[in-house]
Amino acid sequence: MQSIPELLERALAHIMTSDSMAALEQARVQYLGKAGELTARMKTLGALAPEVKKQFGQALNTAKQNIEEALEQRKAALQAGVKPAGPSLDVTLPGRRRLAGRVHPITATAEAMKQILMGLGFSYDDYPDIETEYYNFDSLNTPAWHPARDLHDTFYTDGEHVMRTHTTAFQARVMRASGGQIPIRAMTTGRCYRKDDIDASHFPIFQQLDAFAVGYNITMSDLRWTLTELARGLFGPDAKLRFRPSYFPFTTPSAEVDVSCVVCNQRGCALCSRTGWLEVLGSGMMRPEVLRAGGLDPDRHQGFAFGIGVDRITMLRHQINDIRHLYQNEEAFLRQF
Amino acid sequence: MIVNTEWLLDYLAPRIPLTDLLPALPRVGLDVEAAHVLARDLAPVRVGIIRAIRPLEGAAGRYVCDVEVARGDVRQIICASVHPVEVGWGVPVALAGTELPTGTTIHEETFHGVLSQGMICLDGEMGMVAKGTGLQVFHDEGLLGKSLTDAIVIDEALVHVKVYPNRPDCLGLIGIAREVAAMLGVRLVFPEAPKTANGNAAAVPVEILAPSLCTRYTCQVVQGVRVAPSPAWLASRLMATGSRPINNVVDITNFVMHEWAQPLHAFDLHRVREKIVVRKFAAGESLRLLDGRTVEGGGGDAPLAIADAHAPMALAGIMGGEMSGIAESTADVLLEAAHFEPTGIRMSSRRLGVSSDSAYRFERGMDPNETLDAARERASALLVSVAGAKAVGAVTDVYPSPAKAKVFAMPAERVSGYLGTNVTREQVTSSLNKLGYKCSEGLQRVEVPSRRVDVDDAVVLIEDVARVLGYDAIAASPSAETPTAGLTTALDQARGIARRALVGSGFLELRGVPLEPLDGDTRYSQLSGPSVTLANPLNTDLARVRRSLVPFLVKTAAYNASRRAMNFRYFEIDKIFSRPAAEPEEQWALGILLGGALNDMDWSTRRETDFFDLKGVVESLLEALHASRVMFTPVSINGYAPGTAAQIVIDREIAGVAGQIAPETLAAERIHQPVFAAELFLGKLAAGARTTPPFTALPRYPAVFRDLSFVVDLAVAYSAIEETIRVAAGPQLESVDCMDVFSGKGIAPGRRSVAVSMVFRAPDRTLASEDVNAAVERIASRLDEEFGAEVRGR
Ligand SMILES: [Zn+2]
Repeated sequence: MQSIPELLERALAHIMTSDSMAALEQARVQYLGKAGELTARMKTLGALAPEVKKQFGQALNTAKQNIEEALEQRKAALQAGVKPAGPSLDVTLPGRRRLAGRVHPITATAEAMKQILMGLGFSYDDYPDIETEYYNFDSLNTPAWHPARDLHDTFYTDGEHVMRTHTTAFQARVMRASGGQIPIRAMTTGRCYRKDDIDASHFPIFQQLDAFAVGYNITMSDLRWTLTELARGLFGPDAKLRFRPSYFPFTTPSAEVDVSCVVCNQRGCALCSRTGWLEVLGSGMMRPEVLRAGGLDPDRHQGFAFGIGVDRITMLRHQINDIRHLYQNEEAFLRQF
Repeated sequence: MIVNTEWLLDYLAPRIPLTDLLPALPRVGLDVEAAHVLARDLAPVRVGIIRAIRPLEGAAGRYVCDVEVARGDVRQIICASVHPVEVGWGVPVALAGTELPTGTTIHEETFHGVLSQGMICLDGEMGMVAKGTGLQVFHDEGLLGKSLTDAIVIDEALVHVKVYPNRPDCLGLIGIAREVAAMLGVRLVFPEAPKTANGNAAAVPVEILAPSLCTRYTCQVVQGVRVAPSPAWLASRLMATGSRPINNVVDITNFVMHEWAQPLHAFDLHRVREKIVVRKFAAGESLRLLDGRTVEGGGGDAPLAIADAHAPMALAGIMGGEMSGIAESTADVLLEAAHFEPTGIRMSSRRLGVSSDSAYRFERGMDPNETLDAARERASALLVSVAGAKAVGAVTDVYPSPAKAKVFAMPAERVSGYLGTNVTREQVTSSLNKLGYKCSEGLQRVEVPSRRVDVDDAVVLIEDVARVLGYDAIAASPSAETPTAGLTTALDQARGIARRALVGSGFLELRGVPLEPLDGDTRYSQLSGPSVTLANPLNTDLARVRRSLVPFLVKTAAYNASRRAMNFRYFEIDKIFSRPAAEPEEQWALGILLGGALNDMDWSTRRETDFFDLKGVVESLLEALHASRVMFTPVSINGYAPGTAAQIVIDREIAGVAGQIAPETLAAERIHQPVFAAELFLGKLAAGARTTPPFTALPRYPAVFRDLSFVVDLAVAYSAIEETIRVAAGPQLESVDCMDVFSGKGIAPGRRSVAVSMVFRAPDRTLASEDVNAAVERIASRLDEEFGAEVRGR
């Protein structure tokens, strides 16, 4: 048998949803009629012990009063033409709103990296997209005859200006602006341009993030620590890094850095070509020529630098398989992030 | 460069298993693009049994074979007579569709009207180096249809590596083997090259007339060769690593180049008249090269030639001439091993558009000393042992100013201080010694081997030590230097504020393409001067740097509209470019595009956006940026529909525009609804934005509220009305807001009803009703005087 509060609740709901006088009368009969549910409980009172009887009787009376009041109210409401509360408000209909806005995943990724690096003491600024050959190449130990210029297929806008092929071009600008003030920790991010034909993993425009630190005792070990912290912030606390020898004209030693695969946790998958590692960035200790181009003294100053392809990290973070999605801006794509 | 591990292991002792050798290659600093373990990657190659052979009509030296590749499955395969085949032989077969580790994909092809459904694979064609005759042959019917990897034990890998431009010494297998030996602690084994200078032929005299381009020239006469196809071990090695075998003499020079990195050239001695002269091409001279192209002399930067007493025979360091090369009739060879300056080779190769394996190596820098000699000695020894040469003459060696060894000091403390990890003197010495450096006791003198053209600074020595010790020996430890505060700029902060404000208003951020077509839309732009164009674009579609963000926003709207996403709320933050004077200029902009239903997730009502929705978005944004004194003034801008565009003026400076995109532009993009766009100069907004506005004391006395409704001509701008109200009201008017604008029923034609709500307040007392009433009276009469406004309800 139901408890009195349960019975009361059911009765009140029944009354509130009765949408005609006839239905309301039916409800009255069901609870308060001669054979009504509450009436039936009243009849059982006589068989109870006196102390229980008093308590139970009071509860029944209160319930009866509540039901009677509800019947009166509902009756008045029906006479006034108010529809029952329940079914007329379909709470399952969608709310009235506009679709939420989204940040582009490239921006979100670049901002995430910026936040981590600012926490590690790197200051942010922007630098030109249309850069001089000097800052893009010469200041980075890549003179005109250098075979490494083959690595870049460069867009020229005129005799001495190029569309920057990497954000690394900011290094000498920052060092010169510092006027020799040490330490420097700087970063930038922005568009870079290379004459690549478009396919699933190449686009002639891409975004890079570059950072460097110069001091009196900045070492490769600092570089490793900084990159480890960055990877942990970006890919989670279990992210591991692997350093491989590499070559950049503007760093020695140079290191290509791989992060433990974000998908398979190093068990091997298609994304990492079953190696468990993903190539994510290039780094190294800044060349003496680069420090000199920035007006610093390589006999006293040393520093590290690294550059990251933001598009690639974005693709890894979201497992996007085609770089063209990033620049197509299809709404169905943008709304996923 | 393609490395066959079996060939590489020729230079290492003791033998290393593949499981150790393959991981050592990236540790060396080679960029491994693909590593094909042949025992795995040759699995698709099957053993087929040749059931019939007949000559291919009309093609001498080609045969049609019926090859059973699985029980009862006979395929027709055409093969060349490089290696003889016989009926009944089991051979490796790659059917059409198979991709071999060398990178070749087998296709069905028709020769002389006969279909070939696959290929009978020589060892080299599969990337294997020779085992026996160069073709795997089986005499066991039981192997029919089995995978080659089940039929024989294969313990080789074919690795495609990229050698970085700083390490041309690794463009030969011995260079790679030297590094691997240092990393893995095994021995480097040099190939045998017994000295055989026993000939009596006169040495060919050499003159170097361009010593700045040719540092050293050596050559040697080798007599009595028999030109023939190379033996299997040699041909397979060349094939496996991507070269086509030609004849034993040419193949030997190629083989030694793959081994020692040093390019060599073989002349037919009888084509060399009197002497060798290393000089520039003279005006009027020309030379037909091996690849059929012709080089011509003349001009200041004429290319370097290897000439005899009368005429050029070769384009020095790049390619031989057609006439002086090795022919079947060649009996005596003049073997050249020389050193050319990288820049000269690079410039000639670039300018003439002629590239070759030889040019690739010289332009990166070869060793003028030991390696050059070792390569020449090895080649002459092979000409004897492989090509049957009878005698080898004396070497002519012209080396006017021999290269001096570079010397650096590299004390262990400097290595430790650079790497941030303690490295001992013993570790530095032993690491450098393994790579061929000669170290003095205290590391004050470290002599660099001449093949290491990349060592131009002491820091390279540190890298070499780090590589030998392994980069994992460098611990990750936080900096000992005083950390700096990570700061950012006002512009960066403004971008963040704008982005958050717009995303919060339901806008999608786009990432556009800053390069646009040469014939792209140039309207909308507010920048002066011509566009910045690319001198060497990829194609005409990406040839100019954009000067407005609006065209891409419109293109994106069209793209999404074609996918039935018609409610546009887009923005992009990026740079725009132009060339107002000689120098190109760039600045940050914010583009906004709005169109379609304003409330796109509303099932009960639908409202199309109009100009004031866009203006509201811009105003909210400017408010978020704390921009003050914002004005919208009508303006005419190409691209926006006439009479719909406004200039956004902040503090008397133009900060952008907003308007409705011209309907004809939209119709061309198949968009049939109004679309609105704004473009703001973000740099200017950021400069003016106060991110920490000062506090203003809160009002202490109550405000008095008054509404005023009046009818004015349609031509009267609301901003003028508001300005008049403010002036007339005086300082006690705290705010005035537009409540309602109405024209039509009950209002005279050409006029409209405007209702404003005003708040009056004094900072130092409670305003009396009379004060406010007087102000409202003033306002009403000024509105009447200035605009002929009839104030309603008074
Ligand atoms: Zn994986």
